[in-house]
Amino acid sequence: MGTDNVVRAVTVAVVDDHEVVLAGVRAWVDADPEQRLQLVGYGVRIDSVLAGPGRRAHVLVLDLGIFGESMVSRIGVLAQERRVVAFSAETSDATIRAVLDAGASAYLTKHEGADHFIEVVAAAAEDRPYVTPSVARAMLADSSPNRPVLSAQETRALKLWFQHPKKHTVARDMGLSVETVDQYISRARIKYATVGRPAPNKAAMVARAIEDGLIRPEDVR
Amino acid sequence: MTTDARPAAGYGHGYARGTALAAIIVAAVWHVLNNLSGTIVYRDEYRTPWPQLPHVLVPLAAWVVIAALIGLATADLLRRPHDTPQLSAPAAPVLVGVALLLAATLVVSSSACPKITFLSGNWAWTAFGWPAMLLLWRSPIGWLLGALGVNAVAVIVAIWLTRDVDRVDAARLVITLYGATAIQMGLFAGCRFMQRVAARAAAARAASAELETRKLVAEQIHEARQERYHEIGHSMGEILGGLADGSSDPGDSDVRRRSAVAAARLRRLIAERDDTDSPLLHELRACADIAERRGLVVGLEVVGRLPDLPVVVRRALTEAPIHLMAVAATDCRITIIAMPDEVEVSAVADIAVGMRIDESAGTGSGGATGVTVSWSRDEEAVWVRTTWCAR
Repeated sequence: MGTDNVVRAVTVAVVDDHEVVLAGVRAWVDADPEQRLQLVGYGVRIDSVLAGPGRRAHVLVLDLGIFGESMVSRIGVLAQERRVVAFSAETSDATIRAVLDAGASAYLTKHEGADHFIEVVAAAAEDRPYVTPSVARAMLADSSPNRPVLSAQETRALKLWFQHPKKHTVARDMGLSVETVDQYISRARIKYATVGRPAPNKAAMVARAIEDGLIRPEDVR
Repeated sequence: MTTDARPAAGYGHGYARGTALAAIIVAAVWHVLNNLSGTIVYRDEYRTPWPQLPHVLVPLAAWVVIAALIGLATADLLRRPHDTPQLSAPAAPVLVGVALLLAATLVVSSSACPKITFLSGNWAWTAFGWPAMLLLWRSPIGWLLGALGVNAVAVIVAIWLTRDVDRVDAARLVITLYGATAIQMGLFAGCRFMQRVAARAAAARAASAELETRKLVAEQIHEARQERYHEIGHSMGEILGGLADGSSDPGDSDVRRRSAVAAARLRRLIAERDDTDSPLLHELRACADIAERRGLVVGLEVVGRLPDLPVVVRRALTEAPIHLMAVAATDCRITIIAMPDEVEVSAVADIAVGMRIDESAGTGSGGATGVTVSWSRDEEAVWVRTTWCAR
């Protein structure tokens, strides 16, 4: 771990009942050339991590099944004081939507971890949306009556992002820039933040999106 | 396998209905021709405890009650399907009906004057069996036998108590009862036997129909399989032949690619036989399984519910991913986006060094209509999307 004077903007705590995952996360954090994250707490038990310096971490990365116990019902409370990123082997669309609705800022499946971990956590800390292909799939698969209405371009961007892991290829396919593709995808995610039960991260995410010019206030009623 | 056994069942059903109709006609005709005419002919030969009313009203009322019971039993017999399983014991309303019938019989017998004891004016005691047969049609045969026995005992006791009976009368009584009971039981047993034979014939017919259906299905499956084996047998034979005679080099990337494609197609062919909820997914998994054995990491994800697709469409949709997996180096991501009238299969993979990709794969294959294929590639990966559109 670096001992230089780089200010690590984002503090992160990780809870996972597999030591190997914790070791992997440490390695990813250390390997980030920009050193965007600072790991302040990690462990296999949520209560012990929150009893230590992990309590004040900006972002809590949480495995959804800790020793067989589901963490989904605790997300609502945990998300009151920090941003929560779900990090799970569970990939079902319904779980992903339920976890995001409960107040998690992002959802990262275990197999997506290596490619997206740093970006997902950094985005969660800034209340910016980050949509992994699994989340894109969960949004595309949503057929519930109160799902938000997505535009054709937003749906197309989600669809291509679900199909292809490289955003520049998606952008080329749509004849757009990567930034524009990102905007469509983010807008779809923001629309999800405006439905369902209220949560601090959702309000913050919408406010941030308005501030960034991603959406207009009238777009979210 | 549950084939449609209805025609065969109808065959047994027809027999059961026929025997029931025969019994109904016998009971109704007998009730009108013998019982009603007997009552009318001997209308002055009845005595009841109510002298202020015409005495014949009492046997007439009994006749009406029995007619009503025949009507109810007929309605019940014709309404219910005739292949309804036989009951182990009669239902309560049936027992009430039999009791009413017995009461009506005793009323007629006890109101008839002694001089018509053995004439058709005293019709009820020998006529008891016909309506009783209809009422107990679905009950085990012992119940009718028991009811006839109870009737016989009741009639003998009633006659014994209400009039003087000599030895000759007693003998006539027994012979008449025996004769009537024998005919009624004979008809009932005959009907039962016919029903059983018909049911057995129906079962045999159903079994042979099922056997025939199975044979047909097996033949069709066999033909389809032969056809498909023929399709891939040619390319398989070519590859294996080339390897055997040394004209093909197993190290050659093109030989490896063609072998991988043929192996996946063979695996798909086997998977096509399986009965699964979502055959396209199952077949893609099977193809992915073959590629994973070579060390490729294949991710397979689905959005939406897959519509039913014919095998030619499924094959056209899986053909391009098979070709891509055959040349993929390390990873392949396969996704399916399904809508009721559109299915898109996408596959993205990095290409192994030196591997050539056959971008004509999947285009115009197998006579499937509405399937389009689009390939695109950049420096990192090859992306193929196969789309089936119902319109």
